[in-house]
Amino acid sequence: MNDLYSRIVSQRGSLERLGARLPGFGGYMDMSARRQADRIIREQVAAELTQQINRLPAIEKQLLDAGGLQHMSETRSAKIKMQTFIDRVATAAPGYSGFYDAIKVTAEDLAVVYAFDEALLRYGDAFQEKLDALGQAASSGEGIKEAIAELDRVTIEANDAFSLREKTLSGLE
Amino acid sequence: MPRIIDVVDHTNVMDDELVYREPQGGSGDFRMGSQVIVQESQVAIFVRQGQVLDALGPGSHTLTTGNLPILSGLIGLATSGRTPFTADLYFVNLKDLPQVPWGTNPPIVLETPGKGVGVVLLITHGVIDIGVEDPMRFMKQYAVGKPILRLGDIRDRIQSMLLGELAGLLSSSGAQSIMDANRLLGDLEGAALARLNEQFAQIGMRIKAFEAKPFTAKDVPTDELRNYVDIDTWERIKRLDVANAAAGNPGAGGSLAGAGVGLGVGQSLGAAMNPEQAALQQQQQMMMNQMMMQMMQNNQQGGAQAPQQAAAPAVPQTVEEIRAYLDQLDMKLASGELSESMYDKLSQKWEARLKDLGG
Repeated sequence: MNDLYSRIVSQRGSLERLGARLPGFGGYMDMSARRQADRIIREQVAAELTQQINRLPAIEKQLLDAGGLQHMSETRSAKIKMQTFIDRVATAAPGYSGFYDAIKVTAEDLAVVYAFDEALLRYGDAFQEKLDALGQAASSGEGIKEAIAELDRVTIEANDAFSLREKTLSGLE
Repeated sequence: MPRIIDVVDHTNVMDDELVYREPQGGSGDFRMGSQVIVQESQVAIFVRQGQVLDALGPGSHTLTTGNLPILSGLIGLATSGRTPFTADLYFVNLKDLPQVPWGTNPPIVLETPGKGVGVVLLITHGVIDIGVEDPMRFMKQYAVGKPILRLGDIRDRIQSMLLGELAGLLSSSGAQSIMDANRLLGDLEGAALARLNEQFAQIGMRIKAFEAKPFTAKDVPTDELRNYVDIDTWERIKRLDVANAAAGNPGAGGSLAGAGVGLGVGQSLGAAMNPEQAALQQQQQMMMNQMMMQMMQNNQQGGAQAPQQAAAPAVPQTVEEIRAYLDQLDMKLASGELSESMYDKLSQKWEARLKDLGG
């Protein structure tokens, strides 16, 4: 497995930690509720991310007002990746046969899945942090390029993490 | 006796459809217990007496006072919640409408100070990805009272938003030519997307992507230019147009020098809307004038000096000599010393020779 996988799995938390952030989330133990649990996670993540992406046009406008037309290609690129991530999270089919149709899912398997679910939520926090930094850079006029590059990097990583989550879910038998 | 709608859904959604009313003919009669089936990427909104009331998300809903709190509050006193009630039910399509085409009609006027006539008319086209983001807001602004709302019904609104933003961004971008504008195209697309986001949000829509093809210059008749430029610029264009017409007169342009002047004026008008091409043509014009001057000097100075100044010998041998010879052929054709058929024959022969020599 790659570095991203190892990093995500090593940061695994608990069902309680997830439940604290996701009202109504009961975990995947009960097979009948697995699709529902998956949907709750993805809807929550998509809602949080949508809030974040909606902040970007205001920052872009701030950059433009300060004559920052040259940054718009990069911000657009980051925004497209961010939007792709949100769309993937929001529209993925609720359930993966390998995982959801399995009768037995071990505690070890579930810990990995929860780790990825937590990772998705953490990317919402990461976007917020990077957008805060970009907003500050836009205000000060310094470090704009670097701030956009950081945002872009997180969007790429988030998409990779979601792909890994899908693979992980479908690989659990 | 009213015909009660027991089950209602809207599955056959057209590609460009935004809002669809059920039933199409007008208000329908519902009752608590009627079922409303809402597809993914849809929202169903009840409207009564012109007021946008409750909304239902994807799923199968049995109407109750619980899921229609506002509507049931309105009708409750009169019906006790049991008798049928009249309402309009609108299905709003929340899907993205990808690849919605747009274009610069009218063209965008870009000022090009010191180049051509000072303006260039830019045209381009592209696609946008849009969709309804806030169904309530969108409904209130565009759809209430209509049996169906399709993209074409609000296309002018969208088009004017796009062009307004793009024109504003171009004028503030510092671009002074088509090449400048095309160099900035990626940034302009990003900037337009950022600015349009706010405008689309105001009408309850979202814009996810904004793509544009490279800009090109639009050719328009002189009279039409009046719609795009100020009066001073237009008068300058008219003067050029008159000069161009005069240059096209065989009486005035009969001599070689006259033809040269006429060509210059004609080119300046023809390329007035395209400064890069104007600069290139100006350069070509200067080279041609220089060649003509040299040829006239050679004629005046007689045959003694001509062989020394002629760039090409009687039978050209090298690549440079052949090129010079071909240039002379051009001048001879222009001055009428050579017929067109002879020119074609000779130039083909020497072009082939030049190619053989690797020139």
